[in-house]
Amino acid sequence: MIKWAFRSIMNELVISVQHLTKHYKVYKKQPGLGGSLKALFSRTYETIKAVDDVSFDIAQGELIGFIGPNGAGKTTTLKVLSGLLYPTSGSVSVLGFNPWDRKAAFQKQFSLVMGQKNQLWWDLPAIESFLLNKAIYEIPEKQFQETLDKLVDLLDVRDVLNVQVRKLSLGQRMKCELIAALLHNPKVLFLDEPTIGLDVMMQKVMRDFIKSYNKEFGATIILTSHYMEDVKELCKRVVIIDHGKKLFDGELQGIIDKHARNRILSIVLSEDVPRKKLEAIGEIKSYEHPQATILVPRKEASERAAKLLQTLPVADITIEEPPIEAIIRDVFQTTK
Amino acid sequence: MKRYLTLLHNFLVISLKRELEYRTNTILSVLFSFVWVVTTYIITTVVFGQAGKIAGWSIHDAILLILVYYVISTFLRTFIAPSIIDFSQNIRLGKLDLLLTKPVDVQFMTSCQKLNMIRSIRGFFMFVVLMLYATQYYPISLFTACLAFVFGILGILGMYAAYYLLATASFWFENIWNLEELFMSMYEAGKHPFDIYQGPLRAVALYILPVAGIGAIPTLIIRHAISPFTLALFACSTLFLFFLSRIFLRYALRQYTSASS
Repeated sequence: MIKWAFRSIMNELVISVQHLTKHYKVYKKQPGLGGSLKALFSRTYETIKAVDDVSFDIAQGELIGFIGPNGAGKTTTLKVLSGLLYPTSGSVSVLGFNPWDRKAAFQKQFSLVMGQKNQLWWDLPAIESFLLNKAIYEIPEKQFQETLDKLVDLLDVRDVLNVQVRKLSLGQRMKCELIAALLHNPKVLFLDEPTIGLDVMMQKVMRDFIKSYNKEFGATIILTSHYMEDVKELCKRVVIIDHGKKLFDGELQGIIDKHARNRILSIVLSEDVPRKKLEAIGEIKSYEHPQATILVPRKEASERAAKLLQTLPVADITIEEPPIEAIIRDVFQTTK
Repeated sequence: MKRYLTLLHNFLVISLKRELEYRTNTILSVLFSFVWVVTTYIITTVVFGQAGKIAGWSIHDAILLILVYYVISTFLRTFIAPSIIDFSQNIRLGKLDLLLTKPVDVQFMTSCQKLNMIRSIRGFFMFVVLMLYATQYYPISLFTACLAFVFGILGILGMYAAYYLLATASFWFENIWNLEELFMSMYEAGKHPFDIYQGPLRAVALYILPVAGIGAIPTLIIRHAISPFTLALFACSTLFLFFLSRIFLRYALRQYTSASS
């Protein structure tokens, strides 16, 4: 604790996770009625390592992306950080608190938003849930009104505040969920797939909002999302996790530098050329005259591009990084 | 304390607003409750009309017991049952997550956040009837009335704690279906004079699962027919159950696994 406090002062650390492990025991049932009857008398249990020796630190104001396939351990980590789950081992500190002590002083400083779960009262207008949160978090009237006005304007939901929650669209509901979670101005925000199920336009609105909230309030944010657009646009730093293990922790560009083996040459040809000549440059991903896309080894990209310009009738050329989705997919596959 | 009273007031208001969204439900609910009271009254007068006295209880004693039982039952169904049923289901569905992040006592939140306010209106009406009935047939002093009230509250506390302990078991036995039916059928035992329970069953129904005493003890106080020793034992057992429910919840929360997102 003293060590953490020292580091916290030195680096303005807000979250520190050291060797976090969370194991679950689940029972495996054989299929069919026979399996169900057998499970009544004898059950086979299996230990699932949802989070396995994960460590990371997060400084104040950082916006971190948690990336991983389904069941990787992202949500479990967020739940431990929120104090919902008790870890099997390891130490966690959020704002200097042990989350699972569930101290009110800690709970007043963070918020958890889960894209698939809601806190709003279903049968009542969203404003009623906001007023209830005002009482729960003991928000002074002036601060409540100012924050509410600001959030309502930012998310453009003033006209739906008095409509029953169950009659709102998914996008409107998600915006109201965010407002309910932010009314007490949390210093730390855990966003678990906040854009899930939203259309492209609404995803963009949510991303813009998260970005401006991070800037304006200096809040520390951990975001999990399956949409790479969310991560690319919002997070400078990402933590990649799979099967409970941390695979990468660093800047998004770092994943590209470390794991992207190829670069993409996108060319426009002024004359038709035989496919074989393009194959001499690299692996052809597509070729339909006049456009072609060729994969070349990352380290030889400039050299191959120069060769291409010298030997073929090229009207235009661009050298691009492969899509981040493909690189991350590659990371998961190579670590299996 | 003030904060929790403010929160309770908020829960009351929000629950009332929620119920008023559904007008037909509200009207039918009030109607059914009166039908239930009238039916119970008729059955009691028919039974006692044949038997005269049962285990030393006259028809007036039995009606008094039913009125006390009904007021307490309404209190339980208004303030406790709706939230506890939700609590049990939320554990199974993983919906407890967001509630656990709130800076409020978990037991308070899971016991009081959803209230059935329409039932409280009936409860208040029955309370007035009870007062009129008790003062007409039983000469009670202010002290006796207060004592009956305090033991009514203690009975509610004990019953609540037993209910909460059962609901907390959902952390392990996730599928506790029909919790309300199970609990309320147990609670039906409180409608009968507890003298009908004998031996170990009496001890269990009075002190371990205080169903028999919940209506009977305030009734016996009004009738001046209970010993201080029984009262003291009943008070201790209900307080013990309440503290047990708090300790058990704290232990259970450490085992919470949530549900997959």
